[in-house]
Amino acid sequence: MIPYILRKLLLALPLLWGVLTLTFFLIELAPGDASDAFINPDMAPETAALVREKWGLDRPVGERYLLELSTMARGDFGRSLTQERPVMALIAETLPNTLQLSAVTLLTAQLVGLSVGILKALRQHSRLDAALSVASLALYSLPAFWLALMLQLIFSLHWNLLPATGMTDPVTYDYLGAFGQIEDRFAHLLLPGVGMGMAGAAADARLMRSSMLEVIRQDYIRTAWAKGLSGWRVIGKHALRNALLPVITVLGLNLPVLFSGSVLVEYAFGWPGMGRLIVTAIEQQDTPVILGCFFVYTLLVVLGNLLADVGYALVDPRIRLA
Amino acid sequence: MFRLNPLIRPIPCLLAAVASAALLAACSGDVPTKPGNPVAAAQPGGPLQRDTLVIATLQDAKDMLYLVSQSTIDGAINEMTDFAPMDADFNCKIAYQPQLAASWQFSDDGKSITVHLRDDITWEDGQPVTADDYKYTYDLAADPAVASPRLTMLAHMVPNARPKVIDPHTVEFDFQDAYDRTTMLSHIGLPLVPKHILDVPGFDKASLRGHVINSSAPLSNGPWHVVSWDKNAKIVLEPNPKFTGPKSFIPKLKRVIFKVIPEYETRLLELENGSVDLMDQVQVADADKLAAEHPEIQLKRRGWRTMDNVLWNNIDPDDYKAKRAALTAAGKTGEKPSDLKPNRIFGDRAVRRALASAIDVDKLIKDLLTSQATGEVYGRPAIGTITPSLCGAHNDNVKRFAFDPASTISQLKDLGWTDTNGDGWLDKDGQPMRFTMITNSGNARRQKAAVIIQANLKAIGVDMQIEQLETNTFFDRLRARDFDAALSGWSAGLLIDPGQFWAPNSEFNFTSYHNDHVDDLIAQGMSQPDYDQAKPIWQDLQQTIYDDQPYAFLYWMDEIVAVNNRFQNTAIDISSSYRKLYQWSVPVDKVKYQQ
Repeated sequence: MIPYILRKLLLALPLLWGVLTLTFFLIELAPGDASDAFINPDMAPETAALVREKWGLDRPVGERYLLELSTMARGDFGRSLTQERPVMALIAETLPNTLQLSAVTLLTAQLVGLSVGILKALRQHSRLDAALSVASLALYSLPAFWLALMLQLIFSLHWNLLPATGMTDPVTYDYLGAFGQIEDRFAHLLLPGVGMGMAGAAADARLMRSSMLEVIRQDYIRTAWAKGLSGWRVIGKHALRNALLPVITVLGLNLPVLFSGSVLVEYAFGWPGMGRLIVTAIEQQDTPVILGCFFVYTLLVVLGNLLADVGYALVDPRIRLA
Repeated sequence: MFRLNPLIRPIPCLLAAVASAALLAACSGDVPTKPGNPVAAAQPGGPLQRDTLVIATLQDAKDMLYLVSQSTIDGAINEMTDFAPMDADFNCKIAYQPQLAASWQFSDDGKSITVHLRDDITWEDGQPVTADDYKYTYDLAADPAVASPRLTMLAHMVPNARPKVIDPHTVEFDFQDAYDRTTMLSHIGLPLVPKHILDVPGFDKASLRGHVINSSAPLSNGPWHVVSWDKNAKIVLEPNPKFTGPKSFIPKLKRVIFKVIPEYETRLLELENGSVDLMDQVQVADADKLAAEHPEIQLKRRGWRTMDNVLWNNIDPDDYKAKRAALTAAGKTGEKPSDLKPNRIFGDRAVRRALASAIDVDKLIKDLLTSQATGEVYGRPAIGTITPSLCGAHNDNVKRFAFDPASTISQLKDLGWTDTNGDGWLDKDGQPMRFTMITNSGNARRQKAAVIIQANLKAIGVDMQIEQLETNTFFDRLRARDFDAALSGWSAGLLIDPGQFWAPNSEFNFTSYHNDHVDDLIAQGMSQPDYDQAKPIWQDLQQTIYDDQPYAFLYWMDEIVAVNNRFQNTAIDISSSYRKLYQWSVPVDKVKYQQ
């Protein structure tokens, strides 16, 4: 398995190059550049020119492209133009927050989605199945941003149960005890993490239902029932493992959506993660920060797919990664 | 604290997982960079400090040094942590009051200012604030490696005297010429940077923005200091216990927190549920709702600071483009194209004046800037780019063109614009009066305004199409003079400088408007040392420009700020939504946060 993983990681290099190249030239195609923030009637006209020179924006595109690539190749993301700080430091400040939110969203989506999917398969054509189908279809169809606002409106404004934005209470957090701080963080994770995870769960539930329905009609499941095994053993041990195979594949494919979707969720919930960093960098056309963030996103996606492959092999003994 | 919703009780394993994530995070990160005391200590002899003000802000701060800062939120924090040389009060005009500068004198010829600094102000680390800090601040501002946005403040100064250090607490600024004294004072008012921290071996001026005192832990010499800054989340300020300035500057609040909430609807929601105490740029429709449903929130008006206009391009955009390309090809990138062809429609002053009567400005104000519930009006017609808040300088006597489409049709007919082919649109020399008005996307007010203007013009036979552009593209088109008409706006400065918009060589004279009399008035007005002496000149300028109609001037907007009414002495005015926060207080029986 290790040679397989190494090969996959090596194959990620051209992918990274492609993503960074495409991103760089897309930024170049956009009108203006990072010095535009210095063009306004209150500033001396020469300020923008000084900034362009200082940040190297007056150099030819090809030269800047090669400079960015060589910086990346050295394992250094360079310095933010607008903040004049290492991009690595900016990412280090925000990536843990994004990972925390993504992990909770993913976990919620999987746990709830799989449970509901199994339940729907076992109660096929029942009223429960129909009700859950309607609910999951509705959740699946709702735009994430709108759903975020509705969650805030209901849970934060009308019921005043949960905080609407941020990772902690800005006023009280520093004065809470350890348990209080955990409780506060937990409360702040519920809407963006669990709430948005529920939307993801809708898709998983539909997939799990169809996969489980296919499996429980197999002969070996009938044999298991005939042997008199308990429902838990038949479903939980024999059926679930096989029904999970397509779910794991989709999980790997969904990781990019999870990370890219976090941009919108972080914006809506005021979550200080990498999504917000990248939105600000795009607004300011801060090329090194944008490239650094895309590098990390691409790497996370590659790792996510790799994990899906490994998970696939672990669940299905017929598959050997080589 | 919060209560758990019963709906989520059936999934305990999920909660456990989320709790684990929260536990890890609680144990691992986000420790304040400079933890403050749980209870902010009042300075000896100072006022009792209580309660916390939570301000919702659209974006995070970026630069803690005023020398390089640009955003509103940066400016608000700068004002709290910097004991600037002067404090600006606004009452019809800006008037500077002593602060770090105990006093100042102009020389007889008005070309030098001697500034005497207080000798009792120290930085947070105990080092005194001296004239060397003052000089070093301006040295940095002048350094091309820094590329300071404040460079314009140095434009009139004599290079080796910006400033000269006379003694540890006295400096002298020399200027090449004398001009409006208030503007001159604004130019010597840069808040200082600590020389003893920055001017050390290894300091790279080109990386000033990345220096710790700018990007994460500012060094205060003012009434407040930053105790923690969680990027993109919150900035916490408390009274600076090391502040050595006058007692009247000692804050009466225990803490001020800027909470970053990027989405407008969410900021509003947090204001309504009480999580934040202050929100600016409240939309008119939401002001209605707040007034009706939230008696605990008071709405404050900031004054006339922002405006919308239709810009009529006076020149032919294609001719400009061709001449600009020719200059670039000749390597003369710094030169501006000259002898430009007038615009086919808007190059004619009489056409622009006729169109002024075709746009119903009062309807725009009624539909876009008037409360539907209370009838409260948050807009007023504009006649120029000098804000009506600058009483006296703003010309209240300019008579607006009345909304009179019939008059427009008649005037245009006299100019040769009639519907000769019966297609419903005016034409002249075989060319219809058809053009595109560009505007920026993402601004609901301008989108609605554009539709109303389009209907106004259609009614007189003018075919105007609307094109919404992404903001950067829109700005690029304005700068390249690549438009016929544009719906745009300005945020007016409180120091008058009309040359920014109307001087022929200004990059921001987007319509390429030119009138020799206006150029003379700008030169005369800018060289007047006294604001009152300049008033008649500025009034003449506004009348002249209004008569020429380079813009169809639309309306000024009064910004609405919502603030919880437990706060008293809230000095919200045209210059800022968070002015003089050291004066704000909460009565003891209304305190919300005891921590």
